[in-house]
Amino acid sequence: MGTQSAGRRRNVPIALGAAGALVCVVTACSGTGPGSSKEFTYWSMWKQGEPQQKVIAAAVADFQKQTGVKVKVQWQGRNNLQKLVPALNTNSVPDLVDGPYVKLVPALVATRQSLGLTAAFDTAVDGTTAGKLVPAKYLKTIDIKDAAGKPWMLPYSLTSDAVWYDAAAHPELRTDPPRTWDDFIALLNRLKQAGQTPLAADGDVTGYNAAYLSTLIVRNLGPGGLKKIASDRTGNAWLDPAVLDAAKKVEQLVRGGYLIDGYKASKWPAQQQKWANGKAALMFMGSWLPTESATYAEKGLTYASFPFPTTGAGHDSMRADFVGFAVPKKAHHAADAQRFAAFLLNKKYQDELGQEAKVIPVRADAATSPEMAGVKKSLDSADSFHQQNDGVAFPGYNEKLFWAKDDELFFGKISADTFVHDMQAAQAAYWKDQPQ
Amino acid sequence: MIRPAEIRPATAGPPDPAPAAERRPGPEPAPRGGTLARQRRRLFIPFVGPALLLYSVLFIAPIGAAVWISLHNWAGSGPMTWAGLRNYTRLFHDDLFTQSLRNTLELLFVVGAAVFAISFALTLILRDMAGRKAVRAVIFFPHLVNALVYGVLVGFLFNPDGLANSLLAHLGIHSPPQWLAQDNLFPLIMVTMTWMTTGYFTTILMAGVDRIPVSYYEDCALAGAGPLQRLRYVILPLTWDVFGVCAVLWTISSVKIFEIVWIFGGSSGNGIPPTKTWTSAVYTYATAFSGDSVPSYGAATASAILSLLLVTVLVVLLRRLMRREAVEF
Amino acid sequence: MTSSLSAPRSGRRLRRRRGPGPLGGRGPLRTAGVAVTWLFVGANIAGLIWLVLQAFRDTRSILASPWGLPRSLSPHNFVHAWTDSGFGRAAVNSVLVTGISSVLTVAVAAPAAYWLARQDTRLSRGLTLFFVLGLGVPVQVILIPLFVMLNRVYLTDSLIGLNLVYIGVSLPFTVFLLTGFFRSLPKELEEAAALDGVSPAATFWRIMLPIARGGIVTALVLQVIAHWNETLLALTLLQSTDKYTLPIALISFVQQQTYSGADWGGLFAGLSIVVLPMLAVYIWLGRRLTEGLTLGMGK
Repeated sequence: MGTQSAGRRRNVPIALGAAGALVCVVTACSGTGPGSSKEFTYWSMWKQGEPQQKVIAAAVADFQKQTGVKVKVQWQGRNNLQKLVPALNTNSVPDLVDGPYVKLVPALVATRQSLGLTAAFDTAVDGTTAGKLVPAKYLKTIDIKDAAGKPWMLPYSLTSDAVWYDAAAHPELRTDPPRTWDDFIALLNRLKQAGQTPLAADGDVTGYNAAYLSTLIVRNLGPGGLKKIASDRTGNAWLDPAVLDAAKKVEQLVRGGYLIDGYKASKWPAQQQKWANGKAALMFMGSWLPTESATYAEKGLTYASFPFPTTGAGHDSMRADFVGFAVPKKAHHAADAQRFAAFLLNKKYQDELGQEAKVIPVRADAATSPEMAGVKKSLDSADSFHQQNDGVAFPGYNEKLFWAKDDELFFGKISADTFVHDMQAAQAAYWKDQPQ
Repeated sequence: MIRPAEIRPATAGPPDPAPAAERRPGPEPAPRGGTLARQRRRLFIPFVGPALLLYSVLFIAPIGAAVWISLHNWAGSGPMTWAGLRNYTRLFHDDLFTQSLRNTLELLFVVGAAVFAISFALTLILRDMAGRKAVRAVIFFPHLVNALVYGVLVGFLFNPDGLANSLLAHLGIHSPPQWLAQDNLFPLIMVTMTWMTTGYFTTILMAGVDRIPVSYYEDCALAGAGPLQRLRYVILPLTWDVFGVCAVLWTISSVKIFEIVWIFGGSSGNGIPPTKTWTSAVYTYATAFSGDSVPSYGAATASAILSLLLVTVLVVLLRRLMRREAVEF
Repeated sequence: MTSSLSAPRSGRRLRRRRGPGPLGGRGPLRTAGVAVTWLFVGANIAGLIWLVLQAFRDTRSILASPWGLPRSLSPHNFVHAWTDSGFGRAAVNSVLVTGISSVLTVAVAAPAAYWLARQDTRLSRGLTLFFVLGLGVPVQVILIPLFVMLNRVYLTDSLIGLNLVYIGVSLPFTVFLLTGFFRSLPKELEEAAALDGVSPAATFWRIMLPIARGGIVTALVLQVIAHWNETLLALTLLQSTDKYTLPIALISFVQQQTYSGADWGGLFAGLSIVVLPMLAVYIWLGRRLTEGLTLGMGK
């Protein structure tokens, strides 16, 4: 769910002059390079007024001032990529779009409509190149190379996930967070015995429900494990004991009565609101949770988090979803679009994304907000990473097959055994019907 | 099948409330009509031309293109590969598609029946109720409000801590139903649809009923007909053609039902609604525009073409069924 | 409904009783019906009042006590919603698009419907069927091809393009409705006019159109209602925020208010901003709207 968001409520005046001059030096202000004209179009995933939008809008203003290139921005919101797809059949495509990795892939990359962003990666930023500012360790597991081996995406921020809690209410978790699944279940039991609701969940958002199973499968099989299972045309991969074990762990959560009352029958963000008001101790959610819930959280809530527990299979990857820019192949003003994409990696905007928009900037040296400290620390220390849905984006697979079945497991309607067998059959049927 | 025409009350001659409507199928009266018809035929280009052109360009041509797309595998951009009828055969053994189609038909028939029954009952009740105009105005208004508003409000009403449950708790009911559970979501959508559309159709039907001259009821009363007989022999037959238009209106709008399902499930339109609530229109949209996986426009258009065929059959059947049932007066 | 109907039997007309209205009884059923009707009306009004009241509260207190009343009538939420949403511009766009497309649809459909109603040839029957078949086409069928076509002629992200599309998709129903309507009008006047040497075109403009006013107003009102809330086409075909129609502005507003730190008070204020002016217009014009809706219905 593209709910990366933030809750900035102040608009910090931006020191245009100084930073602007600096940036001008490093981004080759010396006029328009070959192939660039004086404007380009950008369809943004942010809406007017969102904190990310404010940061990017400031960057746009600076960029225009320094390069003389006019940026025609449409603040379209999360539907921007859905609108992009039909436009790709025409000759008036936007020159720049942004979105999370998992949405850019189906919209642009799977159909080979994306441009290799070598120029953006090579653009000088803060004394180095934009490409080098994207930590190399992410790129080991996150594949952003197109068929020709060129990167199709220049990320500017990351989303991750974590199990969130209120450090004011549970200071002990700060010093001694559960690391393994058994620790985690023990914690849930303790909370339950203490009369608390252990876990909140908004069951109407199927993608959130599936995050448990996806993450557990990735814990058992490593990053890419789920994608491998989903690609199995016979569906038999679901019968792997490691997969069954992951499903059983979800079943354990459900049967154990750890989940908040009514999670099966509420409308987002009802349960998230309850969590933010101390009615449940923990919530497994994306890194956007603090900003999304800030307006209704009880006073004194101190956001803190620990990573999703490991299962003993030795895999402890962190979720790292790139959010960033891509350029359609048909773009008429690709060169300027790429320059702007690189421009957002300047420390100034990266810091603002971290502090004002409270997301995790892609640059490792950028500042982050206190709420993100836990997530940032885990990301910094991790050395393997996985994507939302483990990068699975086969046509209709998630929304028609996997998430629908997973809901039945997550709502306790079927057992883990039934689930894996159902998935095996359904997936075999799915692949039989897919074009080769 | 049904020929209620004979029931025209025998006592009073038919009063003339509106220009006498006459249906005269078949050729024009020969001598003068002939020239008229010939002259009129020449107006084909100026009269029908613009409509035909706009309709063909903006409607028929895209449908043709859609049929073409449905025979291919296509991700919405990039290369198309020929798939023949495979997109269609695939749909027939996709349980989700059949279920979505079933949901559409359920909306069409169940909600349709409810809307018409309630509208009709309301029409009869309102006919001589104090404040009828005000009531009509109030119940019509929900139809003008965007479905999105209901999508937002439904959470507040039916969440576990929502308004409905807190009201029930005051009445002593402490284990209320799980309103928003996936299994209950579709019925809830159906109720909301009924809520939204009842006023609209009531207004239309009321006008139909209002057109019936009062003298007919007096004749009925003289003839000793009870309320039900009056309904059966006067009101229904005389509003039959209004019903016909309403039925077509409802049929074509119900197969397009999309927004309300989209926003009821899945966090007010931010996510994808649970598959249990999908209609065939949602199926089409999600297949092409879900954003969570590679779009397959071939399959999406194929499913849309199938629903198109379904509706065409229904509309043709409806017109057959409703034809000649109108009563002239 | 049809199953309850059968050919009348004359024996039924024997008993004599009086009753005022169509279902004139005063039985318990009717009383219950009246009660339910008022309850229905009451619930509608209560819902609206609740919405407006919540618009004056802040997110925390709304969530804490959804039955609560506002403590002050500060317009803060409304100001906030108005500046964030772009509803002003969107409302203007919506009025323009709805108005223009509805008028043009009827202007194009009426002559065609008249011709089709008055000709009885294979061509006219075929064409009538051709139009009627379009009745059932779900809009999503033609979404992608439409987008590509319009883009070729630079009519995507354009209110003119959206108008054209609305006209195209509304023609089947409007032609269907008006053909039926024209068929029900008497032919004597036209025949008399023809005898007087009035050309058929003039007959249509000067004689038939005034008689057909009811049907045309109805067709117009139906289009206005349908286009006012149209979402799917507008969502796909428009990109620039300054071209958004009200439903699209509403969608982005709801997204904006729920993603970036949920602001329920602001959201309710925004919904009130959309609903209340419509209510005002409706109270002002509603009579004409509902009457227009039904003037030509089925006649």
